[in-house]
Amino acid sequence: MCCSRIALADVKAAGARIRGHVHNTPVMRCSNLDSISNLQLQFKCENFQKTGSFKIRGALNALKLVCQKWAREERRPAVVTHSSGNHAQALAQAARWCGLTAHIVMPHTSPAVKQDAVRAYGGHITLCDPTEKARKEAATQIMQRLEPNAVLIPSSNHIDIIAGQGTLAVEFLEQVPQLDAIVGSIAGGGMMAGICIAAKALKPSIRLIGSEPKNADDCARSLAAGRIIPNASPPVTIADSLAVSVYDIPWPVLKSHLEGVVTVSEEEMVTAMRLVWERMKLVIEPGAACSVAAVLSNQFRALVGPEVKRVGVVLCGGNVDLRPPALD
Amino acid sequence: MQNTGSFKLRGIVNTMANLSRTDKETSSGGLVTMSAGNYGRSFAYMCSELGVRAKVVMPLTAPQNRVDIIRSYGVDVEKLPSSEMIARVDRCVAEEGMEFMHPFDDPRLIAGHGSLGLEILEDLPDVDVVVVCCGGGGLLAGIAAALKLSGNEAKIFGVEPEGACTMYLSLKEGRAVSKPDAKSIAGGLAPPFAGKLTYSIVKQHVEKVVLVTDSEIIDAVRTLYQNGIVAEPSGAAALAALRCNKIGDVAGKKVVLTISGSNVSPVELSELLK
Repeated sequence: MCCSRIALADVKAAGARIRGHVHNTPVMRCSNLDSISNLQLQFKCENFQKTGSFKIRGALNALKLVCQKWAREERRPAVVTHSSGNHAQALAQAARWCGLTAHIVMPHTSPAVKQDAVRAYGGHITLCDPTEKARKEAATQIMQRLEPNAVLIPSSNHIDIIAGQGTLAVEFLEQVPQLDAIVGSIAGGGMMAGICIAAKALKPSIRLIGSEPKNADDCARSLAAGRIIPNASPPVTIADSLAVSVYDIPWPVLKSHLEGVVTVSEEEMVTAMRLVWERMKLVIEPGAACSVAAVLSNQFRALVGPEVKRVGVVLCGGNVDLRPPALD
Repeated sequence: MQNTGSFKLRGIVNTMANLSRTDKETSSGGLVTMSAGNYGRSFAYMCSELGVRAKVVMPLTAPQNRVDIIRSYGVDVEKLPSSEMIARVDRCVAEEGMEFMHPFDDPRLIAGHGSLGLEILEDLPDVDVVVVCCGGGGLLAGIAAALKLSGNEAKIFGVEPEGACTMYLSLKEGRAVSKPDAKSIAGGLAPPFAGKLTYSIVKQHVEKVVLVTDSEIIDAVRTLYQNGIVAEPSGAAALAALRCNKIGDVAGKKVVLTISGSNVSPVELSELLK
């Protein structure tokens, strides 16, 4: 499947589908962070989103389309996925809203708060080893058990998911039309791919920059090489939500639209989390702190040059256990 | 998310703009106040902005980081047992020529806090219920006065911790009372007395003051955290009251809750939510 099949029209259709169920999240400023970065930062608060991250956008869009497709059948499919946490919660909640059963494979290292939330939303959890391979295998087994009444809804590698995530960029540009750039974290690449498609169509001059932990920098290395180079082994990073490598459907979009990917250290992410806590009074997870750390870095300034002033930062989620080891 | 991390700055800015000694240079003694934390912090910030000499008298229970923050603004801090604080402030006024700024029972302060009520009306003119955390009563009085004097008919509720229910007791007794053993995890809501002025305004304009336990407050802090917001215990009391059904029937109504402050460190919060 080629990503040129997703266009702004798909994102706008997704918006219409999910409107009223997901929040149009606020955009916040912080004069402290502006002076530290010497930029005018605008933060899109997806930490306030339903289920605590932007993932509900793609999940709900995908499931509404599943329901449409299966409308004429007498049976309803179960939906299956594997996820470190945020997509798991989002899919479980979206499934509940749509009257579907969700089977979720999660790595046993997922934060307790995420596992508890999936259960609370009615999802059935299977725990697995924290590797891509183990996640996929466990999901495949469940699919085989439930076929033909099962649909696999991956966390990023799906055009309906990507179109749903793009709705956040449509909102962002409505809220702050003067943005010069948008920065977002990259795991599988679904969020930034959706943002790239929508934002470039709405504002061709906009500059799009990804952020990753240095310990999980597959997208940065892939862009440098011109082809996908996944993380060699499970990344060790506090940004649990950014562990997976870029998938094949988002990849061509990222390759053609991203100006670059800024990589940040574990310490920079911790510093960013603390700054956002102390100055903005917002709870964000390390995956979101990655983008904040990116815009505060010299790497970012060197990448975009002096003309970029108004920078949109996606605070992609706030699902974090109270005692992440780093904040002690 | 207010500048200095709580609503206190609203009242302080208004008070300082209306000081009785208009020439700061002749106010040789400077300004003195008493505070467990948030008022002192915002007070120190403004004194530093205005270049005014100042002192904050704090209880022994005040956390060291609050003391450090206030000192970092160039403001003097003296820590004393609660029972000795008022006497010390009196000596600062009598012997050192300092001007006392009451942390809640000052009409200029209450009016400044009332700006929050006006903002509520701008955002939600047809609000039905407003729930406000209550310590000395400055914010509650300010918001209540702003709404009622604007002709709004929303019902206003104050919330106090059970262990520091000075306004609740005052309303029962028909006068502002003190409770020397007032104590709560929500330090900002536990001054040992209700203000005379705040009491009279609350009596006139507030529907009811309800009480919550410390553990109900902590649950509310946890809920806000899980929804992406850092709130200190004093700031979460209004949510605690709503969640524990202390506010009565609000089904389908437009309810505004104040989250009055967020000055809590990650370490403090971890301890609290253990």
